[in-house]
Amino acid sequence: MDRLLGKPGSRVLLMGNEAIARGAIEAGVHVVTGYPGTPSSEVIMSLARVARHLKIKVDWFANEKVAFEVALAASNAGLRSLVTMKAPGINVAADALMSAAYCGVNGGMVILVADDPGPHTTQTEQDSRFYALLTNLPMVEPSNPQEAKDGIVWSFELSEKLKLPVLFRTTTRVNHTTGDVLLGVVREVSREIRFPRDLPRYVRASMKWNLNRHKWLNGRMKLAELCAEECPLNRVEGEGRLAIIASGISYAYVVEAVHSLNISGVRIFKLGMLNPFPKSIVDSALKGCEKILVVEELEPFIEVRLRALSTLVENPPVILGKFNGLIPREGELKPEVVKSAIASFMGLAYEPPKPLREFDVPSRPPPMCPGCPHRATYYALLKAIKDLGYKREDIPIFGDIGCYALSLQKPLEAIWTEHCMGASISMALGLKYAGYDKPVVATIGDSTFFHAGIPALIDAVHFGVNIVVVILDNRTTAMTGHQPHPGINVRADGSSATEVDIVDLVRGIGIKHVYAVDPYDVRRTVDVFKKVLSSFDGVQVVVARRECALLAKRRIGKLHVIAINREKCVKCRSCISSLGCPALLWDEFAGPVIDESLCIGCGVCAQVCPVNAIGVK
Amino acid sequence: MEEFNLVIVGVGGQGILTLSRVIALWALKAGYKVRVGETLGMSQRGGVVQSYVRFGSDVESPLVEAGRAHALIALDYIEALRALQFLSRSSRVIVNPKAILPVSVLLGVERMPGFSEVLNVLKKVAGEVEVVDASSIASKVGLPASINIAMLGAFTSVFRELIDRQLMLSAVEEVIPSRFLEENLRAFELGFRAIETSKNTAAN
Repeated sequence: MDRLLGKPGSRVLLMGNEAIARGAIEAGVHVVTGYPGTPSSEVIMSLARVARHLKIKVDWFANEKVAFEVALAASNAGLRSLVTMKAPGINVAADALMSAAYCGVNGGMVILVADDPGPHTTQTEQDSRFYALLTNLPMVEPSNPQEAKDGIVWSFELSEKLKLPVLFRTTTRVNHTTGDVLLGVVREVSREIRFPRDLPRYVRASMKWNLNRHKWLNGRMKLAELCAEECPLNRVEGEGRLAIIASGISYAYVVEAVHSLNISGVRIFKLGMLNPFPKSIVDSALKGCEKILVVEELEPFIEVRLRALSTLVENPPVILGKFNGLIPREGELKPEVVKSAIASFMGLAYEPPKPLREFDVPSRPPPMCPGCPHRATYYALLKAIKDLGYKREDIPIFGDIGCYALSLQKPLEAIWTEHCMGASISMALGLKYAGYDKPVVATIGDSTFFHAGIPALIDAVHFGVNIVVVILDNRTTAMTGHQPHPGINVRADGSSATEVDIVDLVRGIGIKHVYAVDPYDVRRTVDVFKKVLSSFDGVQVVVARRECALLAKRRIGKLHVIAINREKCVKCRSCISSLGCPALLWDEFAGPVIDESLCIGCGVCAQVCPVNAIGVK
Repeated sequence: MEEFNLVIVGVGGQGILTLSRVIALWALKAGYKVRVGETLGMSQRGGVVQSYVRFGSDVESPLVEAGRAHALIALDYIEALRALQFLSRSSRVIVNPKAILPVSVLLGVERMPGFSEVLNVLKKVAGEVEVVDASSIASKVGLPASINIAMLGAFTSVFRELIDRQLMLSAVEEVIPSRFLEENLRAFELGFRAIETSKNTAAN
């Protein structure tokens, strides 16, 4: 039996994201939507395992805005909905989110936004807690898997009580932490789907209605102040005139540090509700303490608001945190960093262990996988640029969000930019639009193209701008763990869906020069790149289509057996130095060696060898 | 027991998350509170992976504090070096004497330290170091992917006073798909015995 379906009262091991999924199940959720993004993806991936059994609708959508609006419509119709995204995703959905605060919801709606202090896998260390203030919506933050589950259930209740969507904010260290979770009862929430026509509520075309809805929202948030007091994720521990305020994962570091430093006389205030603040808890900290340390990751979100509230108190306490440099503002917090800060706050001596550096450890930047088709595509693109007599620095290659961004590593060092979803095409367009006189290339993955690449491509056609757009179509959203997208004929739960063909779509917006290539066919791919780089007739699209090597290996196993002919091999090392495939090793005596456990038999190295010493069977 | 801190390191694709899940499940069965944290990069394969398995009555954080690891399991000896900050003289290390070459080394950009160099460093920093050739065990049982469970066998043996072997095996059976179970159980056994053998040799 799936661990998401465990009996109420049983204790199971769940990852934070699985706990969120279980919380949604316990809350009787009906519709779950999202776009993949680390560290949020496992919520939908795990729910998809049990969706059909539980009759929950669970799917990936083209981007976070679409996913958000799908979930919003479901909750406006009375159902309970959950939408999941990583931090940059909430920027994509932000337009919809602002308006959703004005129309509110009927069925409970919870928005999971997963931030990534560190950062581990995200372009910025965005602190999405500020969306709570920007939208004036309630926000809940859990500290561990148990709270992730319980907090989701409570957030659905809160959402229905307030008739507002609730922001559920997590960080990587909660999403990706596994812990023991006590399961609760699964509610049967049966709802009739109704969408009553209510113009002042759902139409934002009347400024008078908009002003009224703004007042309505602020009124709901007054009520939310009462609810904030009851949030089961708030907690006050200990006694004393000194206080530490924390939320999320920071709380875990705080309790362990206080324990291991053997501190008494300090009160720990844990905030589970970040907007509105639980007033009585914050008041008791401000009025009952002499000194407060705020421990939080990223921006001084709690600290700034606490400082503002402290101006309303007579004899306010001294507040320490980011502004006096005790708690760093960049990167994630670590146990020893929090321990040092608390020791210093308490006036205790504590010296964190010094990092040992005996000698340099070779770096292991994330490589593209063995046989990755993107490696072959970039190899062919760079070769075409060279063959045409251009210098590398003449032709900018705009990158985008996905595995292919790893082409920035040696030996390819291909992309020049990786900005945000879809930016490769718009920025290539922008450079040509500004008057750049040499060819410009945009490279974008299939899922990213569906997410945010299409509008920019339409503008490139509209303005007749001469750019080369390479769509790296590996038939999946690979980097986040192989989720389907609209170009695939399956859905999250494995059932079938209609495939939107990229080539048809591109032709449909009026692009004449569209070439589909198989990147494993190196010669033809190079030829096509030479052709498009030499053309000056508007937008040129190359769809480099080949299934992700990991999926192919799982599905078919090895494609070919690759063998090196030792008599022919001149040990020039060019197979290794031009591709950097992890399956190609170097032996001091023999020369290149194939690592059979890694090689998938793509045959690209055989086509790169200048003396035909690599055979493909 | 208040807390036990285990750090597991290696390279993406070596089954580190499966290994930490097995140990976490054992800890749950043994009645402990459990926290597992992980640090993964952006790649699906070949990047640095660190996993932190913590159990005991007082664990809350998913990260292990610097210098506070009771044990380190390194499936790749280069990655053991990257985890030195967790070790102290009271740490016990189980290390696989094999390493997956980083692309930077393949390209000749960076130097690869040999295993003996790494072993010397580990012996200097940690209290006890066990070398377990999990890669060879995994090839011997005919399942290269079983190096994680070979290391688990060794870990279970090193901490036999803490770990009930049968309970650990029941966690293995729950996590590992049945079609790979036989090879994995053999890998576990050989990993377990590798420690006994080294203990006997030391005693002689």
